[in-house]
Amino acid sequence: MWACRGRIVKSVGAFAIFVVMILSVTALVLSMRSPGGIGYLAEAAHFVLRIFVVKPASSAIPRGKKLMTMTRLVVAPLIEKDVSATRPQRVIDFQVYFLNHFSSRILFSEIFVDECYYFTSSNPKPFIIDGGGNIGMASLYFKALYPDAQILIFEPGRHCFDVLRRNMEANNITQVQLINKALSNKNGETALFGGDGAMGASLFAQGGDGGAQGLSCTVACAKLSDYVTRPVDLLKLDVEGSEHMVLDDLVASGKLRLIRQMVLEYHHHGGGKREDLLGNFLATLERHNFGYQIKLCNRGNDLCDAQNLIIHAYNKALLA
Amino acid sequence: MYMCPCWCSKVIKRIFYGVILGFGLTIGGVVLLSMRAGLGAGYIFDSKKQLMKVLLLRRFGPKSIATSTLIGTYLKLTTKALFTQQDAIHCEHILGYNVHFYDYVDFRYLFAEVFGNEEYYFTAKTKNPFIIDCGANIGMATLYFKMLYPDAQILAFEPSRLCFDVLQKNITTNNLSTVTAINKALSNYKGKATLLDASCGKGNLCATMLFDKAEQRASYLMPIECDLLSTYITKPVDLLKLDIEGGERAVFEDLDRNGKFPLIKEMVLEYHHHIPAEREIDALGTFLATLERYNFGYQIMGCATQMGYQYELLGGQALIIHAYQKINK
Repeated sequence: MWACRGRIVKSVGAFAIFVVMILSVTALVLSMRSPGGIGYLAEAAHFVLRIFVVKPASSAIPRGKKLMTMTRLVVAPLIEKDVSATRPQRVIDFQVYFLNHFSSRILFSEIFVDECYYFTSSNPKPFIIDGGGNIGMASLYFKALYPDAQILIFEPGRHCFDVLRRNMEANNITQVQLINKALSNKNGETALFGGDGAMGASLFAQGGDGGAQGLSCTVACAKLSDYVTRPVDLLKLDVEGSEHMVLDDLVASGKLRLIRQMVLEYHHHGGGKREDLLGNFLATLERHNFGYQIKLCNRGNDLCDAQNLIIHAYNKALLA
Repeated sequence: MYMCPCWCSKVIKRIFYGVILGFGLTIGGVVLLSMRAGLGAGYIFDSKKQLMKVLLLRRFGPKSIATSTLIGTYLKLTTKALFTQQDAIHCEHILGYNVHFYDYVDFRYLFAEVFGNEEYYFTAKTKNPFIIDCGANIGMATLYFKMLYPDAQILAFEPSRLCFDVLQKNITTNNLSTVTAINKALSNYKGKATLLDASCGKGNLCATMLFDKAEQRASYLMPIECDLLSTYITKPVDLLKLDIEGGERAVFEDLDRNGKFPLIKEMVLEYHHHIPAEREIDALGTFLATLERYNFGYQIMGCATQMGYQYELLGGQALIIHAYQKINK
């Protein structure tokens, strides 16, 4: 009897080892084909494991769905080399076209896994301005939070804008207005560096996170204040270093008091100049009766490295 | 296929069951022990979480202690906490020092923060930098600086009588001759003040001068002496370490008023944003703007209780800010 059981145990064990070996060899072969090489496996594992490590206190997206989507996004580059925005990926309950595989992982991880744009609003139909909309991931997240939200999206990059429009159409997103302009402190035209790239295009030659970005193109730009005509429930701003210009414009036009909440990505030591202006920026918010919380995204290796912070500011008078 | 004799599978099975049983018994035993020691049943899980966090946040580049030493010491302190009484001064030999402290759990936290995360790491221009350690507690940061720069001259401030006694003891037992400890709090005035220390006779990690009048209890209040930091800064300071639980803005006011900022080369500050008594006050911008005015650059090196982890807009946050004079860099 023991002998019989031993054989079963052994064969199950051997089968398990066999399966694991086959799987790892397949993953190895596939990852060697992928642009990232074997190191891609580690990167993929990092993105998937993050879902278990990062626990946002208030979350609108179930963890199972996060896991399903992330697995899909991580496996996709192993199967098809070039995504080239022809086939949509299923993200939570949306069909999303991406510009490339790398940006799909980063965007999903930041917006849907970390939920860095989570906010609460007493308005069931909040009016949201999405500055730096990219391909619309943040707007889709807002739609997942508040299906009746009205969203105004600004995106200067032509390539990104095309995909953004396609994403909104593919998911039948209504009550959104898309504007193919950069946000700045003037109306007119401006140079956009890293113009048709998937992420990180900036009005500064050095980019928001300090990396050199050569290619530039000319895009239209606008003042945000011209669009703020009624109370804004949330202003989301990820404009790669232009956040000072946008804030200054809102202050100068007196429109800042119409904004209830802001979630913005602040690019410290960015824009190539490595200036320290965060105090200045926060002091402006304080003067206009905003409170804030801060989340640190990365700390860099050196004391003057570029670093990103997420600032969640709220108008104390309007939220009281 | 290689045929394994049947006793082999039996042995494998026994080992397997043995491991599961052993694991279960260990966890159960530790949970019982931690409940007996008054640490709560979740102690072992909290410890695991804290250690993982420290290891994840470990800095790149130069480190003062090896990761294996860090893990070993952490496990030693975690285990010892299970077998010691809470109300006594303990002494532990770590990293070549004999360190006295009140509570194993607090001490472990301090150790992980100072030696694990290396929040206070800095590169000095000289071999004997002049360091001011404000909010020294039992002197962990002082020991860390001594480890980085054995010839450093350190001025340590600690207002709480309880912590100060242990600090003095740590200085004398380890023969730290160039360290001077002062039993005073730092603020924007000279004179008497009150410290809120809710630890009931043990040293506390977050004794503060900023507290709500409503929540104070007479037994928690401790009369202390308060002084101006500017009177102690008469020569260039290589590093100012400031972790004074909310008093940092008052100290900045004093340094600004008396023009002492140009004498400071580098600072590591813990800024307490939305501290319980000041939930409604947002002053980090003004604080950083002071640094900008004196031509300091800065990097945010850490953020305890991050926004994303406890979604509450008024929640307290502690930011670690490493500031440096730009001319010197």
